[in-house]
Amino acid sequence: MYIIGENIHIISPSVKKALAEKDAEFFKKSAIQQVEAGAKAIDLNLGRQKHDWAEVFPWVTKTVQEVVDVPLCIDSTNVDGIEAALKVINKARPIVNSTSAEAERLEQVPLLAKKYDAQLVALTLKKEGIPVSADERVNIALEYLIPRAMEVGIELPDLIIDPLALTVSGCQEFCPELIEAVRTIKFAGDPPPGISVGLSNVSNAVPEETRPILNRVYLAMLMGAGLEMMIADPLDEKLNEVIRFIEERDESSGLGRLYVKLHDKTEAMEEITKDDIDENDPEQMAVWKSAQVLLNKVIYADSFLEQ
Amino acid sequence: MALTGIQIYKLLPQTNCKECDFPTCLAFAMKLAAKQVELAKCPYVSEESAAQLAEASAPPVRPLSIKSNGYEVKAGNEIVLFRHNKKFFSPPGLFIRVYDDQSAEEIKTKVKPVADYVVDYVGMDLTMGGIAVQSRGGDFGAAVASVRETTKLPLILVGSVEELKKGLEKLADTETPLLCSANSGNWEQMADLAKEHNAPLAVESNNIDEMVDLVEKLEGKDLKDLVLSPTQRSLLGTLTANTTIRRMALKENFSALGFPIINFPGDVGDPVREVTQAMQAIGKYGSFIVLDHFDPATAYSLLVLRANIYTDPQEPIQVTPGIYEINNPGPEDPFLVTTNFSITYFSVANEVESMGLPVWLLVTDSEGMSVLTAWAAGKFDAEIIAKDAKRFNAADKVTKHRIVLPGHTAVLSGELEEELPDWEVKVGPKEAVDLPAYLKEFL
Ligand code: B12
Ligand code: SF4
Repeated sequence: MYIIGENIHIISPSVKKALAEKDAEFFKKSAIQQVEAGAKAIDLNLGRQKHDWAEVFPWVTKTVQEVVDVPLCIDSTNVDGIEAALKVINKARPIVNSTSAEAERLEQVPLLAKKYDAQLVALTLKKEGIPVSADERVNIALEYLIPRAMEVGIELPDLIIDPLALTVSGCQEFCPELIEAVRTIKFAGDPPPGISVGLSNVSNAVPEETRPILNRVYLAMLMGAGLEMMIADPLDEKLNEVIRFIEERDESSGLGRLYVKLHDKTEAMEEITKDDIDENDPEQMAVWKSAQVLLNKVIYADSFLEQ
Repeated sequence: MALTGIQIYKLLPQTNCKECDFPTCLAFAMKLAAKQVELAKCPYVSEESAAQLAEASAPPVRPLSIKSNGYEVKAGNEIVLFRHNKKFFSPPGLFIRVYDDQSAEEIKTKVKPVADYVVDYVGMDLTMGGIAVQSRGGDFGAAVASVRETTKLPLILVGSVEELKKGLEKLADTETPLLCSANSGNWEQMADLAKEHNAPLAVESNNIDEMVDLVEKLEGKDLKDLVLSPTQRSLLGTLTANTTIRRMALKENFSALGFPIINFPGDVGDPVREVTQAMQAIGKYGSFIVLDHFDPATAYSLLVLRANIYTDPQEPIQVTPGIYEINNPGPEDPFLVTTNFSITYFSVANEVESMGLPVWLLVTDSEGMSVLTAWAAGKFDAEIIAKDAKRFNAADKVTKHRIVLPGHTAVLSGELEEELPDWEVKVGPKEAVDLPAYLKEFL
């Protein structure tokens, strides 16, 4: 699993503070920590920085680049800011995050990625809003994102399609559709484009204590559908454990067996059943309940684990 | 069941040879799923896949219709068991039944008000579907003729093969009434008759296995337009039969039950129980619903229920944005502004219209949302109202420039004054019922 470390994100109060104080150590430490934990790239989400972009983007990029060699993923809707960051990158090939199928962004951002020889994340999002069904999302990739990448000369493996993880708390019906979208987009190009999702989005607006289990279960299913790249927290040990269960097919524990099964069944377009779990094991029951909610079989409520 | 792009993709060669003019087999599959290309564009589909694709692309509930003289009641084409999963497509037709032992006079008196019935509900004309004629030992041909002298609405004919023949003689060749019913005794003759007249045929049984058996026999005679007629008559019996049939068609893709259903609530006799059964049939998969009693009050309830169930739950019923003239307004009369959600529009328009007050109603494009919903979603603000007022040339209609906002969006008045400096902006009452009193004072 190729993890793009998500921890440098403007939404986090500590990142906001560090940015205001120009605390270079904070950014360096976070980047090193993430890479040591296994991140293959580092996402830098600095927001729009409407006024200070010319200064902020290059500064953070340089600061982080001093201490890590992995690709940096420049994550913003501010096109000028992205370019300012790309200009100072001289180590690994960067990733531009992101374009969508909205006309204006699709016009500008791929050109930028091409100019700086960057990989490009592209969201299956149109101006009219986020499509629910897997087919609609795949169609956006087929009709807008891939043709535009080919037009500006970006090789398909350098195009990373993000079919948009959305929260189970409010957009529950989108959750199973994302799994099918991931499964399908693999066939959308020849050679296939990359696919990445922002995993923790699935548990936005969910109480803190139940977020991790939803993220883990969703990941196992998404890996079953063929996901090989994601933006996530590389320091989440339990999440890393699930990746390891699946990648090493470690079935030595009941939980490991269940995650492998969840992966395999999703891969085979099947669903786990009660027979696959040990109902006396609360951890396995939590996986089961999370899967039911994520597959939109049981209506989500904050207390779904207790029901 | 219609296949998704990925399911279709699995049936294609997956070689991305591009001969179909698409860059990948998946791109082709997605277009096929959206029914925007023909399968024949790919020269390499295996025969087996082609057969599977053809079968899957057949609608799970066969669409058909009963036609007469420009009228049509459509049925079938449903793809979901529950409306919220997508929507229901073919609203069931309500048919009022007459019997062939009734006199011509009786039949005409019964049929006339049914044929004339039309009621406006949020901008839609609701009407009855047609008339059913059933034999009861009288003169079937004469009964059909009496009905046809009164109305051109589509017909359901219920009788023996001989009787149906007599009824059909009275009809124009272009008509396709629904013929009822084939059973294990008469199916061969019924099949011949239906075929000769190109008419849909009902298949009757109280037992699903027998029903399937009959359907298969009729399909063997090349009949395609069939309607299933479960003969259970209790609430529970009908519910069970209708649900089983539709579940088998949609969830199991079982084509022998993939047909519209006819129900006969009229058979219970009691008018109240009849309405109850009809309501159930509207909610649960009835396509043709035969009633014995016609009463505008209950007809209205049934038709409104039907309208509410057979609309797209994701798409509010809308009216076209624009300027609506209510009671012939003049240049001195005020503008009222509201959204284009039809329930909102009608609650305002009906209130003002029924009191005979002349106003100009500016209906903005708020994507079919109610006043507060649109306001909360940013689809009804001062800028949008001003833009639509200009787009529809509101200023040219009046000499006195006055515009009234819904009371719920009083907060917009300041901004609207800025957007429309030449207008006097007023805040109306919160509820439409209070508009007449407000306007009387105002005018
Ligand atoms: C049904 C509904 C929905 C449906 C929308 C159906 C539709 N087609 O509009 C759905 C589920 C989609 C919905 C969504 C939302 N909704 Co909503 N919704 C409602 C609900 C329950 C009823 C609305 C309704 O149909 N009213 C009936 C119509 C006829 O009323 P009306 O348009 O206001 O018209 C009356 C009067 O205004 C007056 N009137 C109308 N025109 C005029 C003109 C003049 C001149 C005058 C004088 C009077 C007048 O006459 C009418 C009859 O009295 C209301 C609650 C409520 N009590 O209103 C919440 C409500 C409007 N929704 C609300 C919200 C917040 C939302 C969302 C933003 C929620 C979200 N976070 O996503 C979304 C926005 C939609 C979007 N796309 O983004 C809030 C708005 C709060 C606020 N004041 O800001 C409400 C009030 C609920 C609440 N109390 O929180 N909603
Ligand atoms: S012609 Fe057939 S095999 Fe060739 S790319 Fe198109 S769908 Fe695939």
